[in-house]
Amino acid sequence: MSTAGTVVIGSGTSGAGAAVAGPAVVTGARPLPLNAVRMIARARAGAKANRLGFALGLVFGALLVLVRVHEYQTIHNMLMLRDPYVFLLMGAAVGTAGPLLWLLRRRRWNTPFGGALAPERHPVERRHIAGSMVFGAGWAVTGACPGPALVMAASGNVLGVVVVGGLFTGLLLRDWVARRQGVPEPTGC
Amino acid sequence: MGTLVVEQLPWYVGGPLIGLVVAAMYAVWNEPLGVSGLYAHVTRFAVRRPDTDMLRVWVFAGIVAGGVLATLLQGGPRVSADYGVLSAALPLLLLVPILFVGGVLIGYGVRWAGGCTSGHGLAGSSAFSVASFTATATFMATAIAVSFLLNWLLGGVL
Repeated sequence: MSTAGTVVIGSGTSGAGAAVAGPAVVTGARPLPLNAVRMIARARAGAKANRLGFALGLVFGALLVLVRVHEYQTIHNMLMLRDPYVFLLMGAAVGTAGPLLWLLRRRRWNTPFGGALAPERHPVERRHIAGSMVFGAGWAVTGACPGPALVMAASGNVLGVVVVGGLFTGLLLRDWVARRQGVPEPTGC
Repeated sequence: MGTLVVEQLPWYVGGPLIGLVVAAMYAVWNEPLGVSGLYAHVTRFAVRRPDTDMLRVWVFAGIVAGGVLATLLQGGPRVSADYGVLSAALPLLLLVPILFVGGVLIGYGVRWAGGCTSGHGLAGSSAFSVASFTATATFMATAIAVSFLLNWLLGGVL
């Protein structure tokens, strides 16, 4: 558990809210985000902990261009089951990251900016299925998911900007609906 | 500066490299690399909400910069409005609102499901999260079904 002012990273999130008064959680009645403890840890590590994320994003964004998933035709050919490329790509990515993470956890890896490595895992809820069905429909229409849509816009395709504009609109719409229904905001990814 | 023209990295090169990026996000920050979450924190950043996660805003900015950089290395960017077979099938005046509505569906869905192709499909699946496996199977199956439906509605031109 944590006492006022000190945070034990990885001690869980419920209950820590009352004691922690970091810059990230001064939100009045808003519920404490799931990753609040890690956000506080990063705030303590200094701005560089956050700024370093730019480098990771840079590599990720460049890779999305190099595998061409920012083009409608790549995703469309996958979803029409004409080309297995993207399935193989995603399989190879999970096949690389999965064993790596398993190995790091077994070695009790301590992350530089977030305490002991403990990837979030969630039980299945209705929202995972309902939300993914809505997302899947949009993915089929546009051939773009959030990452590739962003890179599509960045590569100079003005229609990518249209998709990103719609994406922000839909996201805020969902937040508005969730607020009206009294559903807490989703956190994590 | 010469241009580096790579048509498309083979999946067995691009896939593992993307996997390393996903693993790095966990190994350095203990966070899943979920792009829909990045968008969400950018909307918070825009209204100066105090619970904005600046890490996610920086990763978002990095992805945009990476997209621009890779496009530059390949001789771009070229301002275009190309949407493959969808451009050929529909006039631009119809394509723009359809793509916007498609974007709204994506945004609404990923926020509801708490993740997208990266957060659930790559990161959550790599962490063996059952919710992520379920979400991934659902959006894949839905997207395939809707793609076939759209192709049928447009008379098989897609």
